[in-house]
Amino acid sequence: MAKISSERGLNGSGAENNDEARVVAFSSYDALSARPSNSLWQDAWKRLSRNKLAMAGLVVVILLALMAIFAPWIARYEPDHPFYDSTSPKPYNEQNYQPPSLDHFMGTTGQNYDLWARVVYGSRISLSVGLVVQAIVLLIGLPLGLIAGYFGGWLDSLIMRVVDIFRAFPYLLLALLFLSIFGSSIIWVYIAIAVSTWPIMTRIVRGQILGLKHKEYIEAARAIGVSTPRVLLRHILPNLLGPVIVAVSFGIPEAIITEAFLGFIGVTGDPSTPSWGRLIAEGRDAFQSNPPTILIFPCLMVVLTVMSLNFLGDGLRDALDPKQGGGSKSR
Amino acid sequence: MGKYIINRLLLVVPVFFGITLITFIMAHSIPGSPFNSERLPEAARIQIDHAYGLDRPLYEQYFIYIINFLRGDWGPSFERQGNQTVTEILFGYRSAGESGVPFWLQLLAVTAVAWLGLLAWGAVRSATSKQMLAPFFKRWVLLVTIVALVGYIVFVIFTLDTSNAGGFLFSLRLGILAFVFMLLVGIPLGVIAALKQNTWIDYTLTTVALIGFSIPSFVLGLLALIAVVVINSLTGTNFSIAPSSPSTFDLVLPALLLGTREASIIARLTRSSMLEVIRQDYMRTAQAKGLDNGTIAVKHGLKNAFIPILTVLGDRMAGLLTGSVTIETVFNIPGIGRYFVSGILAKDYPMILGTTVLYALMVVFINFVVDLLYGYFDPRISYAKGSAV
Repeated sequence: MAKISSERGLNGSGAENNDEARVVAFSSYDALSARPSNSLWQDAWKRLSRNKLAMAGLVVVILLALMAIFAPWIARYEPDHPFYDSTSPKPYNEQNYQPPSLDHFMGTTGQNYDLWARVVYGSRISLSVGLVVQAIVLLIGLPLGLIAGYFGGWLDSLIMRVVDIFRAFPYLLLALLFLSIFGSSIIWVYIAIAVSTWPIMTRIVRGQILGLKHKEYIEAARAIGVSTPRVLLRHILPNLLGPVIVAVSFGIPEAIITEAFLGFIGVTGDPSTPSWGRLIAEGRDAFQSNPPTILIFPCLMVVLTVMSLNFLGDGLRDALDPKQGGGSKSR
Repeated sequence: MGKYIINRLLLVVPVFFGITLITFIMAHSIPGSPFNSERLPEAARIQIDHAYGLDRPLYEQYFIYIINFLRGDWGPSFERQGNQTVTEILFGYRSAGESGVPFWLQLLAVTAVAWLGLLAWGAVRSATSKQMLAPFFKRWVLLVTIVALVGYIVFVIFTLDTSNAGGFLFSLRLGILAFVFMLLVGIPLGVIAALKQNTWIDYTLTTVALIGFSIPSFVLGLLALIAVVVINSLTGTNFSIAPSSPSTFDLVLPALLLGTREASIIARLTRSSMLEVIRQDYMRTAQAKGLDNGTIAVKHGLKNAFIPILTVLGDRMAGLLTGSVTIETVFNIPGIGRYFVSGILAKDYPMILGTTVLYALMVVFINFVVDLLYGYFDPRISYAKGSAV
């Protein structure tokens, strides 16, 4: 029912009964096959590149990634090199919190560190958290979702009860608890955020498989005796890629936000770690009597990163899953 | 339906034990004892540990905790040297000479008033006594009762005396304000964007929603703090943004900032859900009948578009709870989120457990209510068969 109506929506015809709808569907199929055959990915890239916001997001994301990779060349100073102007007659401890200048694009922090250098090195932490966390989430969530969705039965019940328990935890609480047990090194930050967010991936994958596993081509594959691992790998996994990519692309900014908040509370790294959350916390303590740029710049970096990733993720969703986007701009 | 409700309620049991067990083990694995920091002599520390039962085996502590928890005794707060219990901090003190009408009686009275109102409405609409009772045989008698009860409870929450209130009250107020803001802003914006699809209005609204979705609430809160400081210094006023016992008015700004992200999520979802509905045949039928656009959009469009929104409402409220931890920390609101964070930093086991279980129970309860509402709004869903979806 829903499928027919969406087909009708796609080719814009007002076919009133099933026969007519099928005719229309066939004619549009002819039209499709007449066109040079593109793979799904080429089509998706075409749709994505037409979306201006998504492309803007992509450019910013690439710039941020370059900034993180080439941090030592871009930062100009070491992030933990106490910097002070030797020509100034002021004593050392009065030079804290310099306003932005040509020497210090973003000013300096309380320990006379160059804020720009710290922000640049902080991008390494934030981006790596986003990527590694989602990699771990994939490693845990994807197999569990596959098993729960495809095999069903008691395995499904067991996995879903565990997912229920994790769902009832606000994930921030779990990550916080985790970090206070295992200490605040970056590895545990990755694991803490991943462990508290994997159920989202499991639910998405399981839901997709429940819809997929009764499709005709899956049953056909099983009927001709294709082995279960092969069905999973060759027939189900490729169909999952779209939704999983979208979930990952929205999960990365989510992980970055979580890491920033954990740093803000002060449970990640140590005070000298240049993570954006730590910088924000330092700015919060100091901005009332000092240049507010100390707080504004780290905040803006978090917002810029998360926003460009979300723009990209939104475009990816429209490009990979045109049905779910419900009439995106590109259509 | 009854069987479904019982099944769902039974699901609370494994979740409750799972949550308490995980939290208990994790909280007790936090390195260091809660009483290490005070440089106590070893003998005194052992004595304190003994007094709080911390020297017993872990499984014994867990069972004692669970039994006490179910009896309403959530333990003393270690952070405050046991001078206050967790329930006192979270739910407030009960004044000794509390008098007045019991709460369940108040709720009963509200139900009676709601039904009387229904009766009066039936009387106005028709003269015969049989038709007067007609509203009672319709589905929405339940809805009217629930709306009246929820409305009254919300009224009580916002009129309670805060002088000896606990953290839960402030968190509830914050959450309710943010929730209302989320729906009041998110749904209309989504509907407008869908109706004006591919116009500049649509582009502006979707971009704004995407931006709102991208700003973490604690960053938004900090930017608001900067704005307040700047405004204070420019106009010479003295707005305080983090009072120790916030009034409802003080909570409005944090609630707006908390609700912004969720409102944009709801707006995006409403838009795509409306776009799906707009293409349906019954919308064209409604147009052909000559109904005005407002009726079509709300009665035929939104009513059907609301079902997908309802399914994510539970998750969105859980998102509000998570966001409330950050907003309460930024604005220093004495809610349960802030007590959780300070409990973690102080290794206050009973506080960590109490707040976590409270959060978890709220999430479970919200999802339960959403499931019931789902069945109400979408009669096609039957809970009788195959409820394990």
